[in-house]
Amino acid sequence: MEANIEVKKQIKANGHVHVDKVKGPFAEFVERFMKSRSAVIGLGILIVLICCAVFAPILAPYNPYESNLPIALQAPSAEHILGVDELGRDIFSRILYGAQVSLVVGVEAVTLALFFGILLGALAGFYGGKVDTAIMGVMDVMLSFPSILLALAFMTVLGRGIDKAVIAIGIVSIPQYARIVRGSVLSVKENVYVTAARAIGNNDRRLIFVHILPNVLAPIIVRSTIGISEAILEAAALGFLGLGVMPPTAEWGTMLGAGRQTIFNAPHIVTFPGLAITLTVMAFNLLGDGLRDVLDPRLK
Amino acid sequence: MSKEEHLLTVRNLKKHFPIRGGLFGGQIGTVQAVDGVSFTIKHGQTLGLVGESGCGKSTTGMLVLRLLEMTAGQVLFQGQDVGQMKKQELRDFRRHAQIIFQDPYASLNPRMSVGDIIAEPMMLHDIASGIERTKKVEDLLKVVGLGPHHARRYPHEFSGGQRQRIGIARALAVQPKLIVCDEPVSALDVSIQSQILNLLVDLQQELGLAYLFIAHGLNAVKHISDEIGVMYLGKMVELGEGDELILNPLHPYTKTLISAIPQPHPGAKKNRIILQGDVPSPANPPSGCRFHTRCPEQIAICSQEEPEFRQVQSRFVACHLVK
Repeated sequence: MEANIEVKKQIKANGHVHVDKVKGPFAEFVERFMKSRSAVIGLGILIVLICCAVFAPILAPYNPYESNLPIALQAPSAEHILGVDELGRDIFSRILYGAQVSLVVGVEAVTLALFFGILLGALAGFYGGKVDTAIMGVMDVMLSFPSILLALAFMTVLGRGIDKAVIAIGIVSIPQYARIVRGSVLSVKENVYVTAARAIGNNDRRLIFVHILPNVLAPIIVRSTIGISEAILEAAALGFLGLGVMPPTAEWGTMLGAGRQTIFNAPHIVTFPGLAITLTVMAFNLLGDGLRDVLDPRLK
Repeated sequence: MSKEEHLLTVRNLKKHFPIRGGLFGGQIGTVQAVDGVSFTIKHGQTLGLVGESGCGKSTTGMLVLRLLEMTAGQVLFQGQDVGQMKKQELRDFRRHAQIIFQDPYASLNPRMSVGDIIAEPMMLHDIASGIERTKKVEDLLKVVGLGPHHARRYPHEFSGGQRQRIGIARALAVQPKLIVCDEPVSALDVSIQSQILNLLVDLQQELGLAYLFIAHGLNAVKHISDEIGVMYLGKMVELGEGDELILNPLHPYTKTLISAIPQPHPGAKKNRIILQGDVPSPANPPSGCRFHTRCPEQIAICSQEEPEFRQVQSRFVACHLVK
């Protein structure tokens, strides 16, 4: 009790309010974000891609599903700036429409995998022992199957369709995120500041979400950006096998698969959807790298 | 001496870490990190706990705060058994007993601003909120010798000594009665060490804090401790009133520690006792007295029988030589 009174006295003795002209945390975040070149470039490319997807009906010069067999496999020209595919459809139009599907597939599948991957990995790494053995045992079993095979198995249960493909791909990639998160949590939880956080009375939930996970962010961000491209390609592979994204739907992965047969006499058919995927991945990668730095107070 | 005087009572505290190995990861041994340590701390007083690396002194500090689960023994805080506390009781206990860590570079979350680090304990224990909390953070920063403008900065922007001050402010935020100081100055420059020690002494006088002050040499603890406990290989070998223990050490290990304190007079006669060999492994401690392998005064019985930790006048000591 005496201690309380002493502290109060102290507070009174030093009683003047310090007024500091400071920005809010969001304004500060925006300012730092704008200073990060890679984050801005990444976001810029992404905005362009999203606009392509949203405004595809306005921007596309041709109907992406209308075939014109006489000009099939034609190389890029003034009328068809990216050429036409094996059925004579305009590749530029198909890429614009394809963005609608591919971007959504990539982002949704990774979001799903991230959510469960972070949760399971954090629990396994934090609690260790039996919890760890149980969770990571299941993850290892999942990793031991080729992912496309496992995704196929899930598709047979879930049924066909793009939404189902997203769920299947998301579930199948959970172990990869869980592994990374678990490993990082294992090392971060040994830090003295985690013990300090426990000593001041944090419960397990706050220890994990406030003190450990923010310090595990960097590897998660890097892995997720790569994961988006993997998800797009896996959705294409599922489509190729007759599940997920089905032809003739304009989708980058499916376009790659279809152009594969004519890769030697008409390489432009695979080149441009491939470039679109690369550009998307690069955008997410730049944005991810930038965000990682922006969110790290040590690099202020 | 009434029970009420004791803020903290530790009885026969033990911590044995299992050593796992072999084909099936079974237990193949134990590290007896802390093996039967007892002491008490009164309100507003300081117990200095000294011993070389690996003697279990930091483990003892962690056990007292139940940041590690003890193997055996009892820790009583204001009469309450810390080992038996349920979740809610443990939360309340954390409000009264705090810790300052050795490494100021590792003990602050790099992603939290200094203001958030100091405000967090107040938020967790519902002490003040909103503007009042911000105000208290500024006051705490002043108490430890930093400025209110430091609240918005991040730990990496500070020096070791400043970080240690932040760590102290965090511990003070809940207005504790006991603070475990786990070698709070040994990672700092010598010039900064005395600043931090003085700050700790001032805070003790102002706030009536009790300290369990852990250090590896008597040098740091001799000025600020009311009582000093000397540990060797998981055991307390001597415990007594500070000045008296330094003037008249009874245990041979205490004598060697005292001979290691640097003398301020260049001409003073030096009688340093240099111990031979290394500290034996706590996984396989020597028979009898644990110190007998390195003791300059050992006799036959030392390797056979373990000396009892018993009271000799106002002192507790575990040595066959002390009658």
